[in-house]
Amino acid sequence: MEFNKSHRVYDFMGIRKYWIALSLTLALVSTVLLFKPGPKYGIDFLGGTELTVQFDGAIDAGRIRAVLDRMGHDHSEVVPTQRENEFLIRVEKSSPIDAARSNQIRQSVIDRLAGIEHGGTLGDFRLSPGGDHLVVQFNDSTLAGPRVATLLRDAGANVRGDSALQMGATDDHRWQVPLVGIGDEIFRGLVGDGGVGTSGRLSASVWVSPKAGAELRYAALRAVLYSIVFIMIYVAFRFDLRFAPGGILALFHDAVVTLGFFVVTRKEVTISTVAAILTVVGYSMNDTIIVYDRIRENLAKRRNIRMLDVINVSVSEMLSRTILTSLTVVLSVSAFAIIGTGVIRDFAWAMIVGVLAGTYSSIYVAAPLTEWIDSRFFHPGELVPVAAETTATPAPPAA
Amino acid sequence: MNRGWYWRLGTVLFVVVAAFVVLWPSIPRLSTPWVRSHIPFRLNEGLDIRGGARLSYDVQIGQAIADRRVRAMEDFRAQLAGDFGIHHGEGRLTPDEITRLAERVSVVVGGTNREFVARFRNAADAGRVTDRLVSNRGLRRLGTSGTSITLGLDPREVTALEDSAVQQAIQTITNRIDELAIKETSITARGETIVVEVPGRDQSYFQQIRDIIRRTARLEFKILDDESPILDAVIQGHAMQGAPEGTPTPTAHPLPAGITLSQDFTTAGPGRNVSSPYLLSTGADARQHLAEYIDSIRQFIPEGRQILLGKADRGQNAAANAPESWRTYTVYSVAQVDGSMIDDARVSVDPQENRPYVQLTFNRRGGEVFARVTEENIKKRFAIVLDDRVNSAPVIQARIGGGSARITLGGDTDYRSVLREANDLVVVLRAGALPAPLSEGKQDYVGPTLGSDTIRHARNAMMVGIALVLLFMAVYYGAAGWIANGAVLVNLGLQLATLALFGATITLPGLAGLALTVGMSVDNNVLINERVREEMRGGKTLRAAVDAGYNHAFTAIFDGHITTLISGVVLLQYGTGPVKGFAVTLLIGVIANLFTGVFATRVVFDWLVRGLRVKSLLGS
Repeated sequence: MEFNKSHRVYDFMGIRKYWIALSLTLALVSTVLLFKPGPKYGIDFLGGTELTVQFDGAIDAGRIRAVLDRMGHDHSEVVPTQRENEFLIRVEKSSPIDAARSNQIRQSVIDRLAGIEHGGTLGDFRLSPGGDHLVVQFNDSTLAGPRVATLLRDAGANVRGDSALQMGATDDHRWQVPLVGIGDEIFRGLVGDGGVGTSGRLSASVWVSPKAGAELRYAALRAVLYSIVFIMIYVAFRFDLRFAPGGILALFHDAVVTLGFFVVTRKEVTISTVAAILTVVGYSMNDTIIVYDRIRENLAKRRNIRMLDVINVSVSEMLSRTILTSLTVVLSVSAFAIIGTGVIRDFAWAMIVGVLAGTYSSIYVAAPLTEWIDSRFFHPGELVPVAAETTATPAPPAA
Repeated sequence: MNRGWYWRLGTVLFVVVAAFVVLWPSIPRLSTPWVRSHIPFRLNEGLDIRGGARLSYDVQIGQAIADRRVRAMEDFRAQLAGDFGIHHGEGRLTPDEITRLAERVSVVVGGTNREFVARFRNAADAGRVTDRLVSNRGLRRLGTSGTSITLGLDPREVTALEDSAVQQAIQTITNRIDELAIKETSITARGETIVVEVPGRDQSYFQQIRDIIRRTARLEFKILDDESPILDAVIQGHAMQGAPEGTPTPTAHPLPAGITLSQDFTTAGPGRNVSSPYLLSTGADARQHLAEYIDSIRQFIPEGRQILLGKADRGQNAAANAPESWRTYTVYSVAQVDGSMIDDARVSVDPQENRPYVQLTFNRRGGEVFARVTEENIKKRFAIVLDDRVNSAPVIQARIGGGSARITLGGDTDYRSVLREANDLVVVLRAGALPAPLSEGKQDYVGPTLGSDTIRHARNAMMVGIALVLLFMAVYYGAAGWIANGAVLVNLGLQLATLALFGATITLPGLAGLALTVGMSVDNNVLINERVREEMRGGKTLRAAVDAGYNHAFTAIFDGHITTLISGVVLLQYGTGPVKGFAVTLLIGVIANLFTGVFATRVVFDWLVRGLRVKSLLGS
């Protein structure tokens, strides 16, 4: 079996302007989509709480949502999983207390302190970066740990345990008040009294503090940028200046289009998506380099023909390889895209889109830019006549 | 066949056999117990596959700095006490010395977490704080107003502390986990974040681990002030004898309902029998009741004293379900001995009462200090305070040299829960205290059922993906396709073996990465085979075409792999958790690809075209 058995040389570059127009459109639309509406970030990046609960009795999503609404989680998501009576529940909150609630509690603490003899005044009051505890500090206070815990509980905080922990010096009156985690709070609310009316088990839970989410976002962005920069340096060093910009542009094109696909399909961008995009970046570069390698080889062999024709010959020679490789890569991950679950499925889709984009961009993004740079900066004004070779078989390669 | 070929064949066979040996114990159907006990390598499954919890913590370094400041304040007090002739020699200030020092200077915390203020009663004392004294103590003078001097920690020390706090916290957590004897737990750090991964088991188990990790575990020994007039003075509202200057005269604070005044008949020194008052409360809110009352009288407690709470002993005859009682202890606030002086802690069982207790052994310094403190305080009581709660308060009968101490636990709860409490306490005591509090950043929990379900899907997907690729190659290239397929399978084995060799874990994205490398690894053979076909079209014999094909395809293959290598290294550097696993598989894949796709297939091709002189291999 063999693709392109006739070994024709196709005039890929002849129709390049349509494809370039398509690429530009796709890349532009993707870029716009990245800002508006923007990617739907997963819990890894945003922070929040995600529970998978296996209920013992039959139950529908509406019932769960109603309980969540009553608990004050407005923008919750309730998705049934592949198993019976199991649901994925996601709420935006990562801390049992948000900024507004935190202010309310603060005010309430101040009011209550006024009524306590020698309670002092409230100094510092803040939510920990992880959102898992409150830090309170009093001036001229005589309150002890259990009392601080009670004070905050009365003020509306969902305090875990019966005492606050003193931090630092005794005279500093600084206390750490642990809060009941939001995952526990929701799970208990669901299976407890006034909940959905059936018991259940927690199959999985993820809780990410907003700070950790922001840090991960930063780390992911850095990973992508660094790998692009390093690859760029390698290509500039390995090939000459005509080639490097095309490779980089193709690489950006693929990354942006893949991300754009995530925005359009409303798939979640998670840390695994970042891994997929980095793999796509690697694949795209790999593919471009293989096409470049052939162009370079053919350029050295035929000095008297136009760059455009060299590209046509090279791409045609590589056509069966290009189809084969992209097909095998797509085949290898397609099963994940169809029968996989959750993150793995999205990862597989990112790979499929990215591999298709990467294959195509080598031909219609990288090669045309290289040709344009060549004719504009390296051989300006030269128009070597076409060597009438558009349908001929390529010359035998040198041994 | 030439000599070079045999060498290459030998290399390939060696690598394949070595890979099998490494993987052997991980294949249950093929391995025997002997194999499993003699080959140490295992394929570890990640948390997302086998189930477990991943807990992230941020070390609150600001707090470690604030604690360091408190210690600097104690040092500074000791220095001043020495200069004022109140205190002599090494060792900590005695309660009496503290009271005398407080009459001349009060040292209080300052505006930021690295400052404190010394307020002197007269200017002459303030003048004694020279710059040399300050710098000798590793401090900086930040400002002076009247007789108040503001001091701060040396910025260099703050930096050093920031560097060491995370390392120390990791060490402490590692020790605690080791004490719990949990296998296969990984503890890693990036910046100020510490990630603990614990495999398997149920939610309550993780809750226990969370509690143990979060516990500050501050252990202190404080001497009781059994002759303190505080309680009597406060309840009745009269001045205290011997209280330092500046302590306000209490107004009467009658005891609220539910709190009773009680007496301990004890000794407060050799031959000094005293009846020491304490407050007692019984019932569900006992602890809170007492805490509230103490809060209300706190301003009258003289400097250097503290009223702590602890569970009251209800004797052996109390019914098992009787409500719990809490009581107060009046102590000197300076901690004579603390957790850093503990060398070891273990659970023992008292044969007479059949109750577990914790036996502490002091290190050399702790032993010396403990011996000195017990000698100076014979026939007084000392309180064992854990995280601000009095555990017990035995009378020191004699000097305890080279010592050990005992912590009894749990009041009246049943044997098993006392044993568990004792075990948890031993864990945190042996592991040491945390240098700074931890703030939770992320918790990830995957139940075992969800894990096994997901793995089944992922495994199936991987099998299907690989099968599709193999089938396609066989159809497209015929015999040469099977050579490539063989290479792909060996490749897969090599990657798994490398993972087992390094003890890396396989995560779900790692599985997808494995399938992906299979798809990509055939690219080598596609490039080579296509090139060989091209060369044959140019009129070469199969043998010459194979040589030329391999040589020409290699530059492209090499360049392509370098870029993947770059992505992998970057991911490894900046990725976390499962992504790191993916990066590891990616990197191993690159090397395994070059070995199997280029090196190993060449051995087979050479054997076919040179040894067997096959003329056609590439189908079509």
